[in-house]
Amino acid sequence: MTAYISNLMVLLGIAVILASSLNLMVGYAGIFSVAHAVFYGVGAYTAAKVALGATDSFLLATAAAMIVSGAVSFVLAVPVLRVREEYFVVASIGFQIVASTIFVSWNAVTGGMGGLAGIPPASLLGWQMGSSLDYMLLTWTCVALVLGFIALLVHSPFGRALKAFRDDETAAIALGKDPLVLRVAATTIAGALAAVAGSLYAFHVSFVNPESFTLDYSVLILAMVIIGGAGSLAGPVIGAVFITVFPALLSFLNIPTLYIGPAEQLIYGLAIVGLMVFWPGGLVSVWKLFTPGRRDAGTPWRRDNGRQG
Amino acid sequence: MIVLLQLFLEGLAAGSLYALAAVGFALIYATTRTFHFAHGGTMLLTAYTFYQTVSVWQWPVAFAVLAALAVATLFGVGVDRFVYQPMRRTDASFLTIFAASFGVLIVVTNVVVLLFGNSFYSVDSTLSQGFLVGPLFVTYVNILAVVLAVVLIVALQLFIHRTRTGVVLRAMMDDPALVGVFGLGERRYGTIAFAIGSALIVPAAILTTYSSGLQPSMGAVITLLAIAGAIVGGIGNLWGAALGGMLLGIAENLGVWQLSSSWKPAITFGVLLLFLMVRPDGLLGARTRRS
Repeated sequence: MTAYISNLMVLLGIAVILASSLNLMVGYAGIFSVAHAVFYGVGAYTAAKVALGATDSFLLATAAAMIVSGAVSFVLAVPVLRVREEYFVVASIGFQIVASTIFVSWNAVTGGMGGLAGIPPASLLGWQMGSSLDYMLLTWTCVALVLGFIALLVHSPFGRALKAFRDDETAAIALGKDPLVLRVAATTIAGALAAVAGSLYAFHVSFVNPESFTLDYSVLILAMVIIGGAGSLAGPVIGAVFITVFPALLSFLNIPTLYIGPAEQLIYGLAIVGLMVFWPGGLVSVWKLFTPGRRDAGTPWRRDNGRQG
Repeated sequence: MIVLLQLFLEGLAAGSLYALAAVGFALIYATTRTFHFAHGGTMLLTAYTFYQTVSVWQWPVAFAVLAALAVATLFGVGVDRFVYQPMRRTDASFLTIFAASFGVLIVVTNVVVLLFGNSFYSVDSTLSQGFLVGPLFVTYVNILAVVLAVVLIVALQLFIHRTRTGVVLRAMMDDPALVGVFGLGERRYGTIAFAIGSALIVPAAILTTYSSGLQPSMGAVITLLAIAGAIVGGIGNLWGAALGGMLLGIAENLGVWQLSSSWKPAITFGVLLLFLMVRPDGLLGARTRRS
Protein backbone atom coordinates (compact mmCIF):
# COMPACT_ATOMS: atom_id res chain seq x y z
CA MET A 1 0.00 0.00 0.00
CA THR A 2 2.78 2.42 0.87
CA ALA A 3 4.37 1.69 -2.47
CA TYR A 4 1.14 2.57 -4.27
CA ILE A 5 0.72 5.79 -2.35
CA SER A 6 4.32 6.91 -2.65
CA ASN A 7 4.16 6.16 -6.36
CA LEU A 8 1.01 8.26 -6.67
CA MET A 9 2.68 11.01 -4.69
CA VAL A 10 5.65 11.03 -7.04
CA LEU A 11 3.35 11.35 -10.04
CA LEU A 12 1.38 14.04 -8.25
CA GLY A 13 4.56 15.95 -7.47
CA ILE A 14 5.62 15.76 -11.10
CA ALA A 15 2.17 17.02 -12.15
CA VAL A 16 2.43 19.93 -9.71
CA ILE A 17 5.81 20.96 -11.11
CA LEU A 18 4.53 20.73 -14.67
CA ALA A 19 1.33 22.63 -13.98
CA SER A 20 3.11 25.33 -11.97
CA SER A 21 5.75 25.87 -14.61
CA LEU A 22 3.14 26.05 -17.35
CA ASN A 23 1.22 28.50 -15.18
CA LEU A 24 4.21 30.80 -15.39
CA MET A 25 3.58 31.03 -19.11
CA VAL A 26 -0.20 30.82 -19.20
CA GLY A 27 -1.28 32.55 -16.04
CA TYR A 28 1.42 35.14 -15.59
CA ALA A 29 2.82 35.82 -19.03
CA GLY A 30 -0.47 35.19 -20.79
CA ILE A 31 1.03 32.74 -23.27
CA PHE A 32 -1.21 29.81 -24.06
CA SER A 33 1.02 26.83 -24.72
CA VAL A 34 -0.13 23.33 -25.56
CA ALA A 35 3.41 22.08 -25.96
CA HIS A 36 4.56 21.76 -22.38
CA ALA A 37 4.92 17.99 -22.61
CA VAL A 38 7.70 18.58 -25.14
CA PHE A 39 9.91 20.29 -22.56
CA TYR A 40 8.99 17.65 -20.02
CA GLY A 41 10.03 15.05 -22.58
CA VAL A 42 13.24 16.78 -23.59
CA GLY A 43 14.18 16.99 -19.93
CA ALA A 44 13.37 13.34 -19.38
CA TYR A 45 15.32 12.15 -22.42
CA THR A 46 18.32 14.33 -21.51
CA ALA A 47 18.38 13.09 -17.93
CA ALA A 48 18.05 9.54 -19.22
CA LYS A 49 20.98 9.98 -21.58
CA VAL A 50 23.13 11.40 -18.82
CA ALA A 51 22.22 8.61 -16.42
CA LEU A 52 22.77 5.91 -19.02
CA GLY A 53 25.97 7.36 -20.37
CA ALA A 54 27.80 9.29 -17.72
CA THR A 55 26.63 9.44 -14.14
CA ASP A 56 23.62 8.60 -12.04
CA SER A 57 23.92 11.82 -10.12
CA PHE A 58 20.51 13.40 -9.90
CA LEU A 59 21.91 16.90 -9.68
CA LEU A 60 24.03 16.58 -12.80
CA ALA A 61 21.34 14.86 -14.82
CA THR A 62 18.76 17.45 -13.82
CA ALA A 63 21.11 20.32 -14.50
CA ALA A 64 21.81 18.96 -17.97
CA ALA A 65 18.09 18.44 -18.53
CA MET A 66 17.28 21.99 -17.49
CA ILE A 67 19.91 23.45 -19.77
CA VAL A 68 18.82 21.48 -22.82
CA SER A 69 15.12 22.06 -22.22
CA GLY A 70 15.67 25.72 -21.53
CA ALA A 71 17.64 26.04 -24.74
CA VAL A 72 14.89 24.35 -26.75
CA SER A 73 12.26 26.64 -25.19
CA PHE A 74 14.38 29.64 -26.00
CA VAL A 75 14.84 28.61 -29.60
CA LEU A 76 11.11 28.12 -30.01
CA ALA A 77 10.21 31.26 -28.17
CA VAL A 78 12.31 33.85 -29.91
CA PRO A 79 10.79 33.65 -33.38
CA VAL A 80 7.31 32.56 -32.45
CA LEU A 81 6.47 34.83 -29.55
CA ARG A 82 6.49 37.78 -31.85
CA VAL A 83 3.12 36.78 -33.18
CA ARG A 84 -0.31 37.14 -31.70
CA GLU A 85 -1.33 34.96 -28.84
CA GLU A 86 -3.95 33.19 -30.92
CA TYR A 87 -1.27 32.08 -33.33
CA PHE A 88 1.07 31.00 -30.58
CA VAL A 89 -1.51 28.48 -29.44
CA VAL A 90 -1.67 26.89 -32.85
CA ALA A 91 2.08 27.12 -33.25
CA SER A 92 2.57 25.34 -29.95
CA ILE A 93 0.24 22.55 -31.00
CA GLY A 94 2.16 22.25 -34.20
CA PHE A 95 5.44 22.22 -32.33
CA GLN A 96 4.15 19.50 -30.03
CA ILE A 97 3.11 17.34 -32.97
CA VAL A 98 6.41 17.78 -34.75
CA ALA A 99 8.27 17.02 -31.52
CA SER A 100 6.24 13.86 -30.93
CA THR A 101 7.10 12.69 -34.42
CA ILE A 102 10.76 13.39 -33.75
CA PHE A 103 10.67 11.51 -30.44
CA VAL A 104 9.27 8.51 -32.27
CA SER A 105 11.46 8.67 -35.35
CA TRP A 106 14.88 9.80 -34.17
CA ASN A 107 15.99 6.34 -33.22
CA ALA A 108 19.62 7.15 -32.70
CA VAL A 109 18.99 9.64 -29.92
CA THR A 110 15.62 8.81 -28.44
CA GLY A 111 15.46 5.10 -29.07
CA GLY A 112 12.39 5.54 -31.24
CA MET A 113 9.11 3.95 -30.21
CA GLY A 114 10.76 1.79 -27.59
CA GLY A 115 12.50 4.68 -25.96
CA LEU A 116 15.36 4.39 -23.52
CA ALA A 117 15.25 1.76 -20.82
CA GLY A 118 17.32 0.57 -17.94
CA ILE A 119 17.94 3.97 -16.38
CA PRO A 120 19.87 3.45 -13.13
CA PRO A 121 18.40 4.70 -9.85
CA ALA A 122 19.34 8.24 -8.96
CA SER A 123 21.94 9.15 -6.44
CA LEU A 124 22.02 12.46 -4.66
CA LEU A 125 25.21 13.50 -2.90
CA GLY A 126 25.99 9.93 -1.90
CA TRP A 127 22.42 8.94 -1.08
CA GLN A 128 21.45 6.11 -3.41
CA MET A 129 17.74 6.00 -4.15
CA GLY A 130 15.93 2.73 -4.13
CA SER A 131 12.36 2.63 -2.98
CA SER A 132 9.35 4.65 -4.03
CA LEU A 133 9.58 6.35 -0.67
CA ASP A 134 13.01 7.73 -1.54
CA TYR A 135 11.70 9.11 -4.79
CA MET A 136 8.70 10.60 -3.06
CA LEU A 137 11.00 12.52 -0.73
CA LEU A 138 13.13 13.65 -3.63
CA THR A 139 10.13 14.65 -5.69
CA TRP A 140 8.50 16.73 -3.03
CA THR A 141 11.75 18.42 -2.13
CA CYS A 142 11.94 19.43 -5.76
CA VAL A 143 8.31 20.53 -5.70
CA ALA A 144 9.03 22.75 -2.72
CA LEU A 145 12.08 24.24 -4.42
CA VAL A 146 10.25 24.82 -7.69
CA LEU A 147 7.21 26.39 -6.04
CA GLY A 148 9.45 28.51 -3.87
CA PHE A 149 11.37 29.68 -6.89
CA ILE A 150 8.20 30.52 -8.79
CA ALA A 151 6.82 32.39 -5.79
CA LEU A 152 10.00 34.46 -5.57
CA LEU A 153 9.93 35.09 -9.30
CA VAL A 154 6.32 36.19 -9.27
CA HIS A 155 6.91 38.70 -6.51
CA SER A 156 10.07 40.06 -8.04
CA PRO A 157 10.21 43.02 -10.42
CA PHE A 158 10.27 40.50 -13.26
CA GLY A 159 7.06 38.93 -12.03
CA ARG A 160 5.42 42.28 -11.60
CA ALA A 161 6.36 43.26 -15.13
CA LEU A 162 4.80 40.04 -16.41
CA LYS A 163 1.62 40.72 -14.52
CA ALA A 164 1.58 44.25 -15.83
CA PHE A 165 1.62 42.87 -19.35
CA ARG A 166 -1.07 40.40 -18.60
CA ASP A 167 -3.33 43.03 -17.15
CA ASP A 168 -2.79 45.91 -19.53
CA GLU A 169 -0.36 45.54 -22.37
CA THR A 170 -0.49 49.11 -23.59
CA ALA A 171 0.24 50.56 -20.18
CA ALA A 172 3.10 48.17 -19.64
CA ILE A 173 4.69 49.12 -22.94
CA ALA A 174 4.20 52.77 -22.08
CA LEU A 175 6.23 52.14 -18.97
CA GLY A 176 9.07 50.87 -21.06
CA LYS A 177 8.80 47.13 -20.52
CA ASP A 178 9.87 45.03 -23.46
CA PRO A 179 7.22 42.43 -24.19
CA LEU A 180 9.35 40.04 -26.16
CA VAL A 181 12.17 39.81 -23.63
CA LEU A 182 9.76 39.15 -20.78
CA ARG A 183 7.82 36.51 -22.67
CA VAL A 184 10.92 34.73 -23.90
CA ALA A 185 12.32 34.71 -20.38
CA ALA A 186 9.10 33.31 -18.94
CA THR A 187 8.99 30.60 -21.61
CA THR A 188 12.61 29.62 -21.12
CA ILE A 189 12.25 29.38 -17.36
CA ALA A 190 9.04 27.38 -17.69
CA GLY A 191 10.77 24.97 -20.04
CA ALA A 192 13.73 24.54 -17.70
CA LEU A 193 11.44 23.84 -14.74
CA ALA A 194 9.49 21.27 -16.73
CA ALA A 195 12.81 19.49 -17.25
CA VAL A 196 13.07 18.97 -13.50
CA ALA A 197 9.85 17.00 -13.69
CA GLY A 198 11.26 15.12 -16.65
CA SER A 199 14.37 14.13 -14.76
CA LEU A 200 12.33 12.95 -11.78
CA TYR A 201 10.16 10.90 -14.10
CA ALA A 202 13.09 9.30 -15.89
CA PHE A 203 14.75 8.16 -12.68
CA HIS A 204 11.57 7.08 -10.96
CA VAL A 205 10.16 5.00 -13.79
CA SER A 206 13.63 4.06 -15.14
CA PHE A 207 12.58 4.25 -18.76
CA VAL A 208 11.37 6.95 -21.11
CA ASN A 209 9.36 6.56 -24.28
CA PRO A 210 7.43 8.92 -26.55
CA GLU A 211 4.03 7.91 -25.21
CA SER A 212 4.36 9.98 -22.07
CA PHE A 213 5.08 13.20 -23.93
CA THR A 214 2.23 13.51 -26.37
CA LEU A 215 -0.25 16.25 -27.21
CA ASP A 216 -2.76 14.51 -24.96
CA TYR A 217 -0.48 15.02 -22.00
CA SER A 218 0.17 18.65 -22.90
CA VAL A 219 -3.57 19.17 -22.98
CA LEU A 220 -3.87 17.48 -19.61
CA ILE A 221 -1.27 19.80 -18.05
CA LEU A 222 -3.07 22.78 -19.54
CA ALA A 223 -6.32 21.44 -18.12
CA MET A 224 -4.69 21.30 -14.68
CA VAL A 225 -3.76 24.96 -14.95
CA ILE A 226 -7.13 26.09 -16.27
CA ILE A 227 -9.27 24.02 -13.94
CA GLY A 228 -7.19 24.88 -10.90
CA GLY A 229 -6.99 28.51 -11.80
CA ALA A 230 -4.35 30.24 -13.87
CA GLY A 231 -2.48 33.23 -12.56
CA SER A 232 -2.33 32.13 -8.96
CA LEU A 233 0.23 30.06 -7.12
CA ALA A 234 -2.25 27.64 -5.60
CA GLY A 235 -4.30 27.18 -8.76
CA PRO A 236 -2.05 24.75 -10.65
CA VAL A 237 -1.49 22.76 -7.46
CA ILE A 238 -5.21 22.34 -6.99
CA GLY A 239 -5.63 21.49 -10.65
CA ALA A 240 -2.83 18.93 -10.52
CA VAL A 241 -4.35 17.30 -7.46
CA PHE A 242 -7.79 17.25 -9.06
CA ILE A 243 -6.62 15.68 -12.28
CA THR A 244 -4.23 13.18 -10.72
CA VAL A 245 -6.57 12.02 -7.98
CA PHE A 246 -9.80 12.11 -9.95
CA PRO A 247 -9.17 8.94 -12.01
CA ALA A 248 -8.47 7.08 -8.78
CA LEU A 249 -11.87 8.17 -7.50
CA LEU A 250 -13.57 7.14 -10.73
CA SER A 251 -12.20 3.64 -10.37
CA PHE A 252 -14.43 3.18 -7.36
CA LEU A 253 -17.49 3.63 -9.55
CA ASN A 254 -16.95 0.37 -11.43
CA ILE A 255 -17.15 1.86 -14.87
CA PRO A 256 -16.02 -0.62 -17.51
CA THR A 257 -12.38 0.01 -18.39
CA LEU A 258 -13.20 0.80 -21.97
CA TYR A 259 -15.15 3.85 -20.87
CA ILE A 260 -12.90 5.18 -18.14
CA GLY A 261 -10.49 7.13 -20.35
CA PRO A 262 -13.13 8.93 -22.42
CA ALA A 263 -15.34 9.43 -19.38
CA GLU A 264 -12.48 11.16 -17.54
CA GLN A 265 -11.70 13.36 -20.48
CA LEU A 266 -15.36 14.14 -20.96
CA ILE A 267 -15.56 15.35 -17.39
CA TYR A 268 -12.43 17.47 -17.74
CA GLY A 269 -13.85 18.97 -20.92
CA LEU A 270 -17.13 19.76 -19.23
CA ALA A 271 -15.27 21.14 -16.23
CA ILE A 272 -13.25 23.42 -18.47
CA VAL A 273 -16.28 24.68 -20.36
CA GLY A 274 -18.34 25.14 -17.21
CA LEU A 275 -15.53 26.90 -15.39
CA MET A 276 -14.70 29.18 -18.28
CA VAL A 277 -18.30 30.27 -18.64
CA PHE A 278 -19.00 30.77 -14.96
CA TRP A 279 -15.70 30.94 -13.07
CA PRO A 280 -12.81 31.71 -15.38
CA GLY A 281 -10.61 31.97 -12.35
CA GLY A 282 -10.78 28.21 -11.92
CA LEU A 283 -11.37 26.21 -8.77
CA VAL A 284 -9.18 28.59 -6.83
CA SER A 285 -11.62 31.42 -7.44
CA VAL A 286 -14.52 29.26 -6.33
CA TRP A 287 -12.63 28.72 -3.09
CA LYS A 288 -12.12 32.43 -2.75
CA LEU A 289 -15.86 32.92 -2.81
CA PHE A 290 -16.05 31.23 0.56
CA THR A 291 -13.13 32.98 2.18
CA PRO A 292 -13.63 36.64 2.87
CA GLY A 293 -10.53 38.66 2.24
CA ARG A 294 -9.19 41.58 0.31
CA ARG A 295 -10.94 42.13 -2.97
CA ASP A 296 -9.05 40.75 -5.87
CA ALA A 297 -8.59 42.94 -8.92
CA GLY A 298 -10.18 40.22 -10.99
CA THR A 299 -8.81 37.16 -12.64
CA PRO A 300 -6.32 37.53 -15.47
CA TRP A 301 -8.78 35.80 -17.70
CA ARG A 302 -11.42 38.40 -17.49
CA ARG A 303 -9.40 41.01 -19.20
CA ASP A 304 -9.16 41.46 -22.90
CA ASN A 305 -5.82 43.09 -22.37
CA GLY A 306 -7.10 46.46 -23.41
CA ARG A 307 -7.88 45.28 -26.90
CA GLN A 308 -11.43 45.42 -28.09
CA GLY A 309 -10.84 42.87 -30.82
CA MET B 1 7.23 12.00 -61.99
CA ILE B 2 3.93 10.22 -62.29
CA VAL B 3 4.05 9.52 -58.59
CA LEU B 4 4.47 13.21 -57.94
CA LEU B 5 1.53 14.05 -60.17
CA GLN B 6 -0.63 11.48 -58.47
CA LEU B 7 0.34 12.85 -55.09
CA PHE B 8 -0.38 16.35 -56.32
CA LEU B 9 -3.85 15.20 -57.34
CA GLU B 10 -4.47 13.67 -53.92
CA GLY B 11 -3.22 16.88 -52.42
CA LEU B 12 -5.61 18.90 -54.52
CA ALA B 13 -8.56 16.82 -53.32
CA ALA B 14 -7.50 16.84 -49.70
CA GLY B 15 -6.67 20.51 -49.96
CA SER B 16 -10.14 21.28 -51.26
CA LEU B 17 -11.67 19.76 -48.16
CA TYR B 18 -9.23 21.54 -45.87
CA ALA B 19 -10.06 24.74 -47.73
CA LEU B 20 -13.74 24.32 -46.90
CA ALA B 21 -12.95 23.81 -43.25
CA ALA B 22 -10.53 26.72 -43.25
CA VAL B 23 -12.96 29.11 -44.94
CA GLY B 24 -15.66 28.16 -42.41
CA PHE B 25 -13.30 28.86 -39.57
CA ALA B 26 -12.06 32.08 -41.11
CA LEU B 27 -15.60 33.31 -41.69
CA ILE B 28 -16.48 32.73 -38.06
CA TYR B 29 -13.28 34.31 -36.80
CA ALA B 30 -13.40 37.31 -39.07
CA THR B 31 -16.99 38.17 -38.25
CA THR B 32 -17.24 37.33 -34.59
CA ARG B 33 -13.58 37.36 -33.51
CA THR B 34 -14.16 33.96 -31.93
CA PHE B 35 -11.40 31.43 -32.19
CA HIS B 36 -13.80 28.56 -32.77
CA PHE B 37 -11.48 25.77 -31.85
CA ALA B 38 -14.48 23.45 -31.63
CA HIS B 39 -14.91 23.72 -35.42
CA GLY B 40 -13.40 20.27 -35.72
CA GLY B 41 -16.10 19.04 -33.40
CA THR B 42 -18.63 20.14 -35.98
CA MET B 43 -16.89 18.02 -38.58
CA LEU B 44 -16.69 15.07 -36.19
CA LEU B 45 -20.38 15.14 -35.31
CA THR B 46 -21.38 15.64 -38.93
CA ALA B 47 -19.28 12.76 -40.19
CA TYR B 48 -20.49 10.34 -37.56
CA THR B 49 -24.10 11.42 -38.07
CA PHE B 50 -23.72 10.76 -41.76
CA TYR B 51 -22.18 7.39 -41.06
CA GLN B 52 -24.92 6.48 -38.63
CA THR B 53 -27.73 7.48 -40.98
CA VAL B 54 -26.25 6.02 -44.14
CA SER B 55 -24.59 2.84 -42.90
CA VAL B 56 -26.43 1.85 -39.77
CA TRP B 57 -29.92 3.16 -40.34
CA GLN B 58 -29.72 2.71 -44.09
CA TRP B 59 -31.30 6.03 -44.96
CA PRO B 60 -31.14 7.21 -48.54
CA VAL B 61 -28.06 9.32 -49.10
CA ALA B 62 -30.03 12.50 -49.71
CA PHE B 63 -31.67 12.30 -46.29
CA ALA B 64 -28.39 11.44 -44.68
CA VAL B 65 -26.86 14.57 -46.18
CA LEU B 66 -29.75 16.64 -44.84
CA ALA B 67 -29.31 15.10 -41.41
CA ALA B 68 -25.61 15.92 -41.53
CA LEU B 69 -26.35 19.49 -42.55
CA ALA B 70 -28.85 19.87 -39.74
CA VAL B 71 -26.43 18.52 -37.14
CA ALA B 72 -23.58 20.72 -38.32
CA THR B 73 -25.59 23.91 -38.33
CA LEU B 74 -27.33 23.19 -35.04
CA PHE B 75 -24.07 22.37 -33.34
CA GLY B 76 -22.27 25.45 -34.60
CA VAL B 77 -25.12 27.74 -33.68
CA GLY B 78 -25.61 25.91 -30.39
CA VAL B 79 -22.03 26.38 -29.27
CA ASP B 80 -22.26 30.05 -30.15
CA ARG B 81 -25.56 30.53 -28.36
CA PHE B 82 -24.77 28.56 -25.21
CA VAL B 83 -21.03 28.95 -24.79
CA TYR B 84 -19.60 31.93 -26.62
CA GLN B 85 -22.40 34.44 -26.28
CA PRO B 86 -22.73 34.17 -22.51
CA MET B 87 -18.99 34.60 -22.30
CA ARG B 88 -18.92 37.63 -24.51
CA ARG B 89 -21.57 39.18 -22.36
CA THR B 90 -19.26 38.91 -19.36
CA ASP B 91 -16.37 40.39 -21.32
CA ALA B 92 -14.27 37.26 -21.12
CA SER B 93 -10.80 37.44 -22.58
CA PHE B 94 -9.79 35.71 -25.76
CA LEU B 95 -7.96 33.02 -23.86
CA THR B 96 -10.98 32.20 -21.73
CA ILE B 97 -13.15 31.80 -24.81
CA PHE B 98 -10.47 29.74 -26.46
CA ALA B 99 -10.20 27.47 -23.43
CA ALA B 100 -13.97 26.96 -23.45
CA SER B 101 -13.90 26.15 -27.15
CA PHE B 102 -11.10 23.71 -26.48
CA GLY B 103 -13.19 22.14 -23.74
CA VAL B 104 -16.12 21.76 -26.13
CA LEU B 105 -13.91 19.91 -28.60
CA ILE B 106 -12.74 17.57 -25.85
CA VAL B 107 -16.34 16.93 -24.81
CA VAL B 108 -17.50 16.24 -28.37
CA THR B 109 -14.56 13.95 -29.13
CA ASN B 110 -15.16 11.88 -26.02
CA VAL B 111 -18.92 11.70 -26.54
CA VAL B 112 -18.16 10.21 -29.94
CA VAL B 113 -15.71 7.76 -28.40
CA LEU B 114 -18.25 6.72 -25.79
CA LEU B 115 -20.96 6.23 -28.41
CA PHE B 116 -18.92 4.70 -31.20
CA GLY B 117 -15.71 3.45 -29.68
CA ASN B 118 -12.22 4.33 -30.71
CA SER B 119 -12.03 2.16 -33.76
CA PHE B 120 -11.99 3.16 -37.33
CA TYR B 121 -15.11 3.07 -39.47
CA SER B 122 -15.40 3.18 -43.18
CA VAL B 123 -18.28 3.60 -45.56
CA ASP B 124 -18.32 1.80 -48.85
CA SER B 125 -19.76 3.35 -51.91
CA THR B 126 -19.30 3.67 -55.61
CA LEU B 127 -17.91 7.08 -54.95
CA SER B 128 -14.66 5.69 -53.61
CA GLN B 129 -14.05 4.10 -56.96
CA GLY B 130 -12.49 5.91 -59.80
CA PHE B 131 -11.08 5.71 -63.24
CA LEU B 132 -7.84 6.25 -65.06
CA VAL B 133 -6.96 9.46 -66.78
CA GLY B 134 -3.82 8.59 -68.61
CA PRO B 135 -1.46 7.21 -65.99
CA LEU B 136 -3.26 8.86 -63.12
CA PHE B 137 -5.99 7.35 -60.98
CA VAL B 138 -8.82 9.72 -60.16
CA THR B 139 -11.62 8.81 -57.77
CA TYR B 140 -15.09 10.31 -57.89
CA VAL B 141 -14.50 11.55 -54.39
CA ASN B 142 -11.52 13.53 -55.61
CA ILE B 143 -13.57 15.16 -58.32
CA LEU B 144 -16.47 15.91 -56.01
CA ALA B 145 -14.11 17.40 -53.46
CA VAL B 146 -12.58 19.89 -55.84
CA VAL B 147 -15.84 20.76 -57.58
CA LEU B 148 -17.81 21.24 -54.36
CA ALA B 149 -15.08 23.32 -52.80
CA VAL B 150 -14.83 25.63 -55.77
CA VAL B 151 -18.61 25.97 -56.13
CA LEU B 152 -19.25 26.59 -52.45
CA ILE B 153 -16.41 29.03 -51.91
CA VAL B 154 -17.34 31.04 -54.97
CA ALA B 155 -20.97 30.97 -53.85
CA LEU B 156 -19.91 32.27 -50.46
CA GLN B 157 -18.00 35.14 -52.00
CA LEU B 158 -21.00 36.05 -54.14
CA PHE B 159 -23.20 35.88 -51.08
CA ILE B 160 -20.93 38.18 -49.15
CA HIS B 161 -20.69 40.70 -51.91
CA ARG B 162 -24.16 40.67 -53.42
CA THR B 163 -26.71 39.99 -50.71
CA ARG B 164 -27.68 42.31 -47.91
CA THR B 165 -26.92 39.76 -45.22
CA GLY B 166 -23.59 39.13 -46.82
CA VAL B 167 -22.71 42.80 -46.82
CA VAL B 168 -23.48 43.01 -43.12
CA LEU B 169 -21.16 40.07 -42.54
CA ARG B 170 -18.44 41.84 -44.44
CA ALA B 171 -19.05 44.93 -42.37
CA MET B 172 -18.58 42.85 -39.26
CA MET B 173 -15.26 41.65 -40.58
CA ASP B 174 -14.16 45.23 -40.98
CA ASP B 175 -15.56 46.87 -37.90
CA PRO B 176 -17.91 45.05 -35.55
CA ALA B 177 -18.63 48.07 -33.41
CA LEU B 178 -19.85 50.06 -36.33
CA VAL B 179 -22.31 47.35 -37.22
CA GLY B 180 -23.88 47.71 -33.80
CA VAL B 181 -24.11 51.46 -34.30
CA PHE B 182 -26.23 50.91 -37.36
CA GLY B 183 -28.70 48.96 -35.29
CA LEU B 184 -27.97 45.66 -36.98
CA GLY B 185 -28.09 42.85 -34.43
CA GLU B 186 -24.51 41.73 -34.01
CA ARG B 187 -25.65 38.62 -32.28
CA ARG B 188 -28.05 37.62 -35.00
CA TYR B 189 -25.48 38.06 -37.73
CA GLY B 190 -22.90 36.30 -35.64
CA THR B 191 -25.25 33.34 -35.45
CA ILE B 192 -25.62 33.45 -39.23
CA ALA B 193 -21.86 33.39 -39.59
CA PHE B 194 -21.64 30.36 -37.34
CA ALA B 195 -24.41 28.64 -39.29
CA ILE B 196 -22.75 29.23 -42.66
CA GLY B 197 -19.27 28.45 -41.41
CA SER B 198 -20.44 25.19 -39.87
CA ALA B 199 -22.48 24.22 -42.90
CA LEU B 200 -19.43 24.63 -45.14
CA ILE B 201 -17.77 21.79 -43.34
CA VAL B 202 -20.52 19.30 -44.25
CA PRO B 203 -19.16 18.33 -47.68
CA ALA B 204 -15.73 17.98 -46.16
CA ALA B 205 -17.09 15.67 -43.49
CA ILE B 206 -19.06 13.52 -45.90
CA LEU B 207 -16.32 13.19 -48.49
CA THR B 208 -13.69 12.41 -45.88
CA THR B 209 -15.99 9.69 -44.56
CA TYR B 210 -15.98 8.12 -48.00
CA SER B 211 -12.31 8.56 -48.72
CA SER B 212 -10.47 8.14 -45.43
CA GLY B 213 -13.00 6.69 -43.05
CA LEU B 214 -13.92 7.85 -39.59
CA GLN B 215 -11.93 8.14 -36.41
CA PRO B 216 -12.60 10.15 -33.27
CA SER B 217 -9.28 11.92 -33.59
CA MET B 218 -10.33 13.53 -36.87
CA GLY B 219 -12.04 16.31 -34.95
CA ALA B 220 -8.83 17.63 -33.51
CA VAL B 221 -6.93 17.06 -36.72
CA ILE B 222 -9.40 18.97 -38.86
CA THR B 223 -9.56 21.84 -36.39
CA LEU B 224 -5.83 22.25 -36.62
CA LEU B 225 -5.82 21.99 -40.38
CA ALA B 226 -8.62 24.54 -40.67
CA ILE B 227 -6.83 26.97 -38.38
CA ALA B 228 -3.47 26.37 -40.00
CA GLY B 229 -4.99 26.94 -43.42
CA ALA B 230 -6.68 30.12 -42.29
CA ILE B 231 -3.48 31.44 -40.74
CA VAL B 232 -1.23 30.51 -43.64
CA GLY B 233 -3.63 32.14 -46.04
CA GLY B 234 -3.92 35.23 -43.95
CA ILE B 235 -6.48 35.28 -41.23
CA GLY B 236 -9.47 37.45 -41.93
CA ASN B 237 -9.31 36.79 -45.62
CA LEU B 238 -11.62 34.13 -47.01
CA TRP B 239 -9.80 33.59 -50.29
CA GLY B 240 -6.66 33.34 -48.24
CA ALA B 241 -8.13 30.64 -46.03
CA ALA B 242 -9.13 28.65 -49.10
CA LEU B 243 -5.67 29.08 -50.54
CA GLY B 244 -4.04 28.16 -47.26
CA GLY B 245 -6.10 25.00 -46.92
CA MET B 246 -5.31 24.01 -50.47
CA LEU B 247 -1.61 24.67 -49.99
CA LEU B 248 -1.44 22.55 -46.87
CA GLY B 249 -3.28 19.69 -48.56
CA ILE B 250 -0.85 19.72 -51.43
CA ALA B 251 2.22 20.11 -49.26
CA GLU B 252 1.11 17.31 -46.98
CA ASN B 253 0.62 14.88 -49.82
CA LEU B 254 3.72 15.84 -51.76
CA GLY B 255 5.69 15.32 -48.59
CA VAL B 256 4.73 11.65 -48.66
CA TRP B 257 6.95 11.33 -51.72
CA GLN B 258 10.01 11.46 -49.54
CA LEU B 259 8.83 10.94 -45.99
CA SER B 260 6.58 8.24 -44.56
CA SER B 261 2.96 9.22 -44.04
CA SER B 262 3.40 9.45 -40.28
CA TRP B 263 5.18 12.70 -41.05
CA LYS B 264 2.07 14.23 -42.61
CA PRO B 265 0.97 16.25 -39.58
CA ALA B 266 4.55 17.24 -38.96
CA ILE B 267 4.74 18.62 -42.50
CA THR B 268 1.55 20.61 -42.06
CA PHE B 269 2.84 22.17 -38.91
CA GLY B 270 6.28 22.63 -40.24
CA VAL B 271 4.75 24.77 -42.97
CA LEU B 272 2.62 26.61 -40.43
CA LEU B 273 5.56 27.29 -38.13
CA LEU B 274 7.57 28.51 -41.06
CA PHE B 275 4.85 30.96 -42.02
CA LEU B 276 4.42 32.12 -38.45
CA MET B 277 8.07 32.88 -38.17
CA VAL B 278 8.64 34.40 -41.54
CA ARG B 279 5.29 35.79 -42.63
CA PRO B 280 2.72 35.71 -39.84
CA ASP B 281 0.34 37.81 -41.85
CA GLY B 282 -0.09 34.87 -44.14
CA LEU B 283 -0.23 34.94 -47.87
CA LEU B 284 -3.11 37.34 -48.31
CA GLY B 285 -3.66 38.68 -44.85
CA ALA B 286 -3.82 42.21 -43.60
CA ARG B 287 -1.20 43.43 -41.17
CA THR B 288 -1.76 41.62 -37.91
CA ARG B 289 1.50 42.02 -36.10
CA ARG B 290 1.09 42.73 -32.42
CA SER B 291 2.32 46.12 -31.28
